[in-house]
Amino acid sequence: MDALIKKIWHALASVRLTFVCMTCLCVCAGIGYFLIRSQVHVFKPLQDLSLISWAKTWGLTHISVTWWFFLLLALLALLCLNTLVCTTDRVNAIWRNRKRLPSRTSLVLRLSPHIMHYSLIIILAGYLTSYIFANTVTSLILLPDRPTRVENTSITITLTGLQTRTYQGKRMAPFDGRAINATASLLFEDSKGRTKTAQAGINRPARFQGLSVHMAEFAPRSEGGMVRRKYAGLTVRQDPGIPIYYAGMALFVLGLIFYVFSITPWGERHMRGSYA
Amino acid sequence: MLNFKNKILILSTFIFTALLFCTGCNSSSEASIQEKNAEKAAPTPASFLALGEFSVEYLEDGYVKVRDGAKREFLLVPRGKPPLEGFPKSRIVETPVRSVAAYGYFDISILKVLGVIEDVLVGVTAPKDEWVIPEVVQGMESGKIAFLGSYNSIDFEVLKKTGPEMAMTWDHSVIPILEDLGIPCLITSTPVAMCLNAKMKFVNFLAPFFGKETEASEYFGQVAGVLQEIAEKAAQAEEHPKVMWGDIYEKRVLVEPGNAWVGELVGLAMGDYVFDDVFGASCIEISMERFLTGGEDAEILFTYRTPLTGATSKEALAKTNPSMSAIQPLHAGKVFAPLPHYSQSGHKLDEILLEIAAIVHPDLYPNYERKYFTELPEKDA
Repeated sequence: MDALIKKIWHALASVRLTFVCMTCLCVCAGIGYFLIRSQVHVFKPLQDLSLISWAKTWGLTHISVTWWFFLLLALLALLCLNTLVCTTDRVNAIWRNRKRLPSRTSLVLRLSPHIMHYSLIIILAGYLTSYIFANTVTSLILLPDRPTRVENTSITITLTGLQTRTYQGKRMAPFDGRAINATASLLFEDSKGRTKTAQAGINRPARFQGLSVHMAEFAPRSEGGMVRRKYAGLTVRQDPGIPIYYAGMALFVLGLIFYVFSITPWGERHMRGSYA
Repeated sequence: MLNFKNKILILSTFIFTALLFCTGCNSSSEASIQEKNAEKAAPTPASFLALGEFSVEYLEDGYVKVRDGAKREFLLVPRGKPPLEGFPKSRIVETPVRSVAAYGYFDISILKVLGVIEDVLVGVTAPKDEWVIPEVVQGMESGKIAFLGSYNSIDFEVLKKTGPEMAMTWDHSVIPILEDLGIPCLITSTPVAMCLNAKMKFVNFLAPFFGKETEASEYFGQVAGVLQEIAEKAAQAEEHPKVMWGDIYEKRVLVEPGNAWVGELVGLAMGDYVFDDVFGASCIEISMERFLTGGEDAEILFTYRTPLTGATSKEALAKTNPSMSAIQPLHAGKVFAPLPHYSQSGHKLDEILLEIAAIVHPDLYPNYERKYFTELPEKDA
């Protein structure tokens, strides 16, 4: 059994595997680019459905245009394993020889590229967690001053104000009086009576107790024209992947900083004299 | 020193920590219940229908899960059976639905296709004199169908009194009000224009609400047959006329994008749709320059305006906006305006598709008599 594990471990540590994986990933992503463009609507539900739900329905029903995506996931998983094994081998080698290194600084600097490799795996794990476990509530419609409960939670959100900024530039007649930006003032309240006021705008989500609230639509959108009731349409996400990929990114930045130091004359001086 | 076992230990710890992180996050999520239920009851792929941005998923024991135009999931529950867990009350609809209030002409036309319009329609948002569908006119005359008020001033007292089991609308802002009234609100429009496939299959989306899947399949087969016929005939066409569909209003230029069903149909009929590169919602706004550039060598223009709303002649159309007279269809091509009953003829989609194909290639359809569009004369009589 040990022999088999060792064999698999060595196979996963192969640089040739990295090369094959990367090439296949490029080809797969290239094909995917054209297949997505051919049927965008098949992939759009991935924005709000879990990966498993999507795979069982849209994914399998349209396998002729989604096969590359499943292959891409498998290749990414393989690349992650390959990176993990290679990096662990290198970390192990450095750790074994740590006493031969001139200082602790040298050890940290030598570990820096491997920290970045581990970080990338964590970031990818974060994305996978999002795709599998994130819960998205689409089209949460808020009318002014009406508390609305977010599905499957005990949190209510009230729209206390909707500020729209209209175009007043006069240079583009069709845009005169049309909304070019909007901000919703929101009041959050949980079951324990804890409240928070926040503003959500286009590309500027509000956050409350693990929920991120994104403004997806609003009305009215222009002065005059079609008369519409005032409302804000929100997309609410509860995404356990966010802390994981934030952690991954923080670690990556840390690794990058160490790496940048390692390639400076200062860093090279610290590392010189260590094992080859 | 790390030996092989230690390496495995590091790797296992890493994977275990990652899994723990994921599981921990998941268990803290109250929202996962619905997902788990959905996954438990997952159907075989054959029982899943993707209809543009809508979808229908047939589960076991007659339950159906549908996804509306606002990406919200509804559970259709056969009468007498308990609802599945994980769906809020406002997203549970007992089937077959017995009464419906509807905003859109196309939705109501599809009720006619399904053969339920007389039985289920109880409220509309256009007054009686705007209707041409006989069942609606008769229903309003007899008092069975109520005028609920226009889309922006719905009389919710009247709506409540008519007691619909479900409402179908494009207006997202009524969702909270209807949910407060205990009426599930189905959004039947999508942010992106319906493609030809979605337009044809929309009937399959509404069918499970009324248990009329057979009628829906028959209708789809009929429309698909006509489309096949159009494609076969169009293959003989030697010319590819340039077609545009849109209009210039006081301050806005609106067109049908290339991803809309009309754009796809023109392509299928071997026409050249000039806004093929425009993607987005139906009646999408584009710049005046793009419209005029597209119209420079277009041969056919379909307007949104009907003769009742100003499209009586090319001259009349040009008067509404002088810039429009620069496009070729207004002086050297053809302009077609929809007749007032066109928008309420969704149940005759096969005839409409055929008519558009006949307009694009009149040589392939000699003696074709138009029913839904009128060709505008040069000047008013």
